[in-house]
Amino acid sequence: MILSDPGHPSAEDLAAYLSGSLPAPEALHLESHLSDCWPCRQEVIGGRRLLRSRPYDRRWLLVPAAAAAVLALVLLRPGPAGEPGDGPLRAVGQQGQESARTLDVVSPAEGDTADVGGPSFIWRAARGEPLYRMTIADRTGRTLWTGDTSDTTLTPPPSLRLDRGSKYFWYVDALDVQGRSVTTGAQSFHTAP
Amino acid sequence: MADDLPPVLSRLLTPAAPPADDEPWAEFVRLHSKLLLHVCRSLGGGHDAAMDRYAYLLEQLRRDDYRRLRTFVADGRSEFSTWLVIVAQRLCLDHHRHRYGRARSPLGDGPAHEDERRARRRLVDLVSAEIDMAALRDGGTPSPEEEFHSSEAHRALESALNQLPPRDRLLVRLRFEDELPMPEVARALGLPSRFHAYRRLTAVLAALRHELERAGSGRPVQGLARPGELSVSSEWHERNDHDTL
Repeated sequence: MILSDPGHPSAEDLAAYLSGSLPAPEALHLESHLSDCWPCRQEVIGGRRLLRSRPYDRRWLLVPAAAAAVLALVLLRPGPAGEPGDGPLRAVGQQGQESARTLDVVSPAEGDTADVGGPSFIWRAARGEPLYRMTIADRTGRTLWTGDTSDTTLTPPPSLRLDRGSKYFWYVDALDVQGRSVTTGAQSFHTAP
Repeated sequence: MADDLPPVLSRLLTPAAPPADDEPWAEFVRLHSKLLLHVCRSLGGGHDAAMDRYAYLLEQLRRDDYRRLRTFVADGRSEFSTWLVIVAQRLCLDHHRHRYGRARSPLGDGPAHEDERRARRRLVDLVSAEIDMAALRDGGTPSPEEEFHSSEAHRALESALNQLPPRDRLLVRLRFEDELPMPEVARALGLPSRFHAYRRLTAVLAALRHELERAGSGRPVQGLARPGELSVSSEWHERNDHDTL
């Protein structure tokens, strides 16, 4: 049985390798084995796939949840919401979200007016060439559209119809291969009348 | 050591728990059943097959007073769930072997089931195809001399592949033998992105080309990027453009 096969890496070693915590000499030794051992290689490939798609992996859920919470705060706060300078980006930082400011918005800037015919959303790259997930929500916080990209710009499809003269929110979450996530926090924009 | 274990596992494995008390086990199953089912389903075969594996998995984890769970070492090198995924995969494979023997694997039939020499030849052939060994000839029917050169180049390539550092050899195998898309190659190697994997593969293939040229073909080999070039073959990018990391 593989579980106790001598000459093959232990479950502990494979788990440590998948976690990136195997010391370099041991990792080198393991990779040497993997390059010549097809079943062990399949274990690593399968393990990575499973860990990436595991059902209670909440990495993606946490950041949008944080952004949604911020959005809710913005929406529920008395007085005019989402004014420039009191943006949710700061609120996210105050709540201790990891490196919220490292994902900076380029366009549209907070409170800008955008074309209803499909504005392009641009942000600055985060470290580690992560995958970005962008979300557009209406003023009630209802998600209208979500898109994934490895680029730092995204244009929603024409099928997303935005009303003229309305206020919308958007935010981008970045997730790198180490599972670290950063977010722009919720940004608002208005569509042209 | 028990103090370092996940609380649920610690409660389960603590001798103080009366043998008849199933609550810690129920708690363990409740907490990890989604993950275990995820592993069972990932191997295909439909609902019944997945549930068969799941039942076997639970039986094996519980067997001999949780013998397998007791082998987990909480040394901080990995999370318990990562370790559990590896163990669950292995147990599912055991289950498959018990039922169907060693001839077939739910992971697929790979080179491990073939003669090792044939597997190596296949890798050489795959890499050769990628670097367009036909370019070593001038076209048309190869002359005996050209066939000799081509055969020599294949031998040189095989030798060069065998001499690659382990990590580079693994990269080549993941890409050409396992035919993984580049994002998955990057993930398997723990690289930050597919672009890192591309860059490394470009460098490795450039080194192989250099080795081929040094070995005496004396002619440039098409399809291999020169050092510093980003891509090896536009076909790779076309094949992987739809992939996201």
